[in-house]
Amino acid sequence: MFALLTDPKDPEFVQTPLFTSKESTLQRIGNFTLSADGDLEGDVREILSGNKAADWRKKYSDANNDERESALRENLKARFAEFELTNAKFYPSPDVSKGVSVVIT
Amino acid sequence: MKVQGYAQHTGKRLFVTPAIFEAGFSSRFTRENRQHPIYFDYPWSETDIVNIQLPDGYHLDHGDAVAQESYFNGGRKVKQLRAWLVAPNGFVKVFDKNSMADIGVFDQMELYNDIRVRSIRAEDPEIGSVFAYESQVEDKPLFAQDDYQFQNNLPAVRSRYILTLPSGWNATSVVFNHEAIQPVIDGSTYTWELKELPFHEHEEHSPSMFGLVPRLAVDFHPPSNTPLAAICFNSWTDVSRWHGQLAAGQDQVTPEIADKVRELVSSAPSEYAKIQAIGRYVQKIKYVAIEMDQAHGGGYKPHAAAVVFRKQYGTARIRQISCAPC
Repeated sequence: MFALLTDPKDPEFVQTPLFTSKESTLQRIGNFTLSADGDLEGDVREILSGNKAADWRKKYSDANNDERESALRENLKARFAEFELTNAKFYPSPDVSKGVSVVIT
Repeated sequence: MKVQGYAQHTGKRLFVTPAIFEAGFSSRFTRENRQHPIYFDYPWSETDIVNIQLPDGYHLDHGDAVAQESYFNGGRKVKQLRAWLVAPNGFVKVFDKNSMADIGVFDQMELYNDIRVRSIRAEDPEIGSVFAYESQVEDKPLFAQDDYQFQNNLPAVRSRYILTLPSGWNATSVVFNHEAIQPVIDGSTYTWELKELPFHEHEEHSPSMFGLVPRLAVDFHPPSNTPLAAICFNSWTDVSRWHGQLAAGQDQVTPEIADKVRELVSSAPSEYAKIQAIGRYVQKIKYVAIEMDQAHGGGYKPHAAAVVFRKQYGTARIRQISCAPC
């Protein structure tokens, strides 16, 4: 991405540095129990940082928790024929340089 | 959260992919041709940690996918063996020559044979992966027959054996463990096909897959008056004639064998007692199978009686020939 460095005498377009893959991370931790009839039940925690967190904020920072949960349900509906979502909590840090956590139960 | 029916039942097994976070996403890498690279907004890294508590009584069963072809010197050759593993996300791993193992075949009934196997193994592939392999084998068969097992214990959506014969030849077939299959014949090309073959659950002390799954045996018949007629079987008499020629001379009696026979029968009062004495001696020869020179009938051809007599070990074929009349 380019950025304009404003200066009355010598303005300049510069290319901003990219985050490396180490600075934009998506970590997902799931603890599940499988039943003998094939159902999988458990909790998921997602931790986003860097551009991944920025993307989330761009989509959902103006949304309330019901709207965020509704979007999550739509995502799951497209992927699983049948599922139950008990609860979803979203923890975007007020400091935008920090990450976002999502807890799904 | 709860995903109903996430794992699939097959027999007594539950097939479950641990990559639940990727489940249901379509792969970005499935198109056959692509002129431009796939665009990602930025680089990122993903780490997934999935812990799954299994139901009571279940344990984890890793399954490897294996491609293999056998060969032996002077006869069957593996001209080519290639394999690919396509992960659920579309990533393709190509197995080249460096991935191939070359190992001897072990059979519990044999001390040694010279059959070897070239094999490619994809260890513990992710569930939902596709393992594909292609092999090219050149064989000089001892007799004009071939056989084909339509499946192993795993289910098969479609299994097909296609045979193209030289002009003037024809084929006949027998199917075991399944009702008869009529081949589709197009010129000199024959096709036998089965679909939707089920999974076979392993049971302790059950017959081997050889006796359970559909199996095809094919006889090739050349035009009449060809020298190849000697390796084509239309009856058990043909089989007997072929084997008689293969085993000819192996029953040659040496002076040492003749001396031993005379010693064994010296006190036998009747013809039956003589046979008993020789039979008991042969039964004491130890069973040791060594099958070499497969390209020239090793495995079918008995070892020479003189060699067996000297070494005091052999197989069923050797015992049979050792009992041949002196």
